[in-house]
Amino acid sequence: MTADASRVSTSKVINENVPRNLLEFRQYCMGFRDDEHVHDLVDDLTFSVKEGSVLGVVGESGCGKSMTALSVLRLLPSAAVVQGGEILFNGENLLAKSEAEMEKIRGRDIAMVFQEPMTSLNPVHTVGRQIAEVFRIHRPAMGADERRTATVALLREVGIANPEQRCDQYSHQLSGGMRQRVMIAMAVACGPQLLLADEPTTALDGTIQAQVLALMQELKQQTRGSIMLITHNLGVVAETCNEVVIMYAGRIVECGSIEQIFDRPVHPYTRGLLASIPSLQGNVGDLYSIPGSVPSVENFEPGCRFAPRCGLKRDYCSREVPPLADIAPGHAVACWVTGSGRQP
Amino acid sequence: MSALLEIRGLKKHFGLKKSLFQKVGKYVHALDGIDIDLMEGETLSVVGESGSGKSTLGRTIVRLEEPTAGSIRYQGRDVNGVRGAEAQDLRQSIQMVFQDPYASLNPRLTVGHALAEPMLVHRKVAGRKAAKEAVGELLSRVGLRPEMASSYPFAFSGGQRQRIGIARALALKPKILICDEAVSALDVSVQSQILNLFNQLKKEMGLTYLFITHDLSVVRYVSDRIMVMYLGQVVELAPRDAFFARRLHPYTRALISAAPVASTAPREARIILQGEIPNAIDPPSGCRFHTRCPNVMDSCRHVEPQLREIEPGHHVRCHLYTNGQ
Repeated sequence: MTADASRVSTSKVINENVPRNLLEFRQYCMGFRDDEHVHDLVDDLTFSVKEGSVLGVVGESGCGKSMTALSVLRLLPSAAVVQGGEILFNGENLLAKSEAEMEKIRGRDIAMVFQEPMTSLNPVHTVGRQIAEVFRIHRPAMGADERRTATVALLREVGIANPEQRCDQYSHQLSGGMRQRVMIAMAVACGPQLLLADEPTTALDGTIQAQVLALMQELKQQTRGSIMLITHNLGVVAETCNEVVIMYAGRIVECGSIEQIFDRPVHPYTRGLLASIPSLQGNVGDLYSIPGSVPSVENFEPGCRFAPRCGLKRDYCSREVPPLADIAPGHAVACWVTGSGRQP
Repeated sequence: MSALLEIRGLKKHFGLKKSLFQKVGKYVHALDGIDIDLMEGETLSVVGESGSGKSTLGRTIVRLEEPTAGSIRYQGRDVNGVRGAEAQDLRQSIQMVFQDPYASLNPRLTVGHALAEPMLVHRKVAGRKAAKEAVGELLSRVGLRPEMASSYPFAFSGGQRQRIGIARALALKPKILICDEAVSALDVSVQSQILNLFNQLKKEMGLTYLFITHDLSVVRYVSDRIMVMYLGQVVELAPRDAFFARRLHPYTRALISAAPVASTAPREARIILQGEIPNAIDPPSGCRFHTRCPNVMDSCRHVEPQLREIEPGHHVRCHLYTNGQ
């Protein structure tokens, strides 16, 4: 993306060789208020997004992966309670920022692409106006003509045909794939250092998903941007990410590089998840399936939250929380049985 | 094997009104000349993207939509011609499982009540007591506990709700189950459970499935034959193994290639189609896929290809395979 040519020089790239942590979660905890109770959802989240790399956060519904993304932008729903920890962006704690400071960061330094482009676009404004709004807020020096030119250029870059006409249309006049392209254009308008993408292709048809994934690859190569990709689709992760965090019921169960997770998975949940994906190759017997279902936030176990569904479960698994511990450089697992943590 | 369901020249066009007082002007061509022989005991998967007409096909078969033209025959009887008791009988034989089990279950009825109702309406059971027993049996058949009959839908997880949706479809002991995106809304670990359940029920109850989905990888695990639809037409129809081995139609090739693979192994270069599925109000002339086809030839723009049998059981609608080429 070249919408903002000055971005490359102003971004805080200090050392090209050692990727530094752009975003860092440190013992982050959050939960939900429900009458008098607070249910813990996200527990002791510690991971980082390196500069110039794509991190995939994978999990099933209810595991807290979307809440993790919303926590970064401080856009959590009102029932959510942040219980502790830090989220560092460029070394500064986002949780300690004022609302006014956050408004400057959103859209300029960190931008987000949501799953449902129809509900995230405003139906009563043209898409051009909505993209230009990003410039109006973060680049007040730009004139109206300049904004228009930049908007049309952005639409062209995200692969929209006839950008001059599309610019003046409303979201209902666009197809699902085009709406998602508009969302991406809006997100990259100011050349953010970090892009959060929450299930960006889940609502799209197969052939359109392939187009949007190719677009994201292109953007990644052009910008040296960092992306945190939230998804439940392990295929999308394998094809776009460098590193993966696997979440289950609000905790990280395993994290590592793409090769570590896909070729040498260790945690019983990761292994089960990979085995239960229907594939286009291999034999077609019965699919492996993990017994039981994902617990809801009110019914989490006191120990390992995966224990009730785990084939390797021991007595102590339901009592003690396994720590996330390294088993190889960059590869960490939270499991009493298969991990490196000493058994209690 | 004989054809349990025989569909010939099925068309469904939806009229579009420009305004309240105007007559219908244009039509959405949701289905345009579909022929299917659904064999007893087989699973035929219908694959397509949004706008391909795959859901309309399922809805038309269970008479949620009236066809514009063509015929649907179940065991030789015309589905649309029958009335009264015979129509009731037909309705029992063909049941549907929907995508969103939560939206298709009444939140104010207990699961037991929802399952007992069709059996009582169709006098399949002698009374409330017998219904209760039958409900318990149904629930255990789909992998739930009989005592769950007294709970309401909100108390269940997504996978459990889909099991209830399947139990309800099975309540009248149907011959054919039409599954419309029945596993699309489910998480991966639960999706595999439900796919295995479908296969298990097929063996136990001798069911015949029409499995409608957009996900080709799912299709591999349940199908005997696979049919690909594009803009209201069938573009390829083949037995499963031949389908994945040969992938004759360019659209099929693109669909298979578009699916992301959960592996770090190098993969074949992806075919990325240009543009999007055109509007079904004014489908493209000639071959409907020509606007996006990487192998487009001049004749594709003007001459509509016919669905032809290239190899035994393998049908394809494409000019690449006509004229002896």
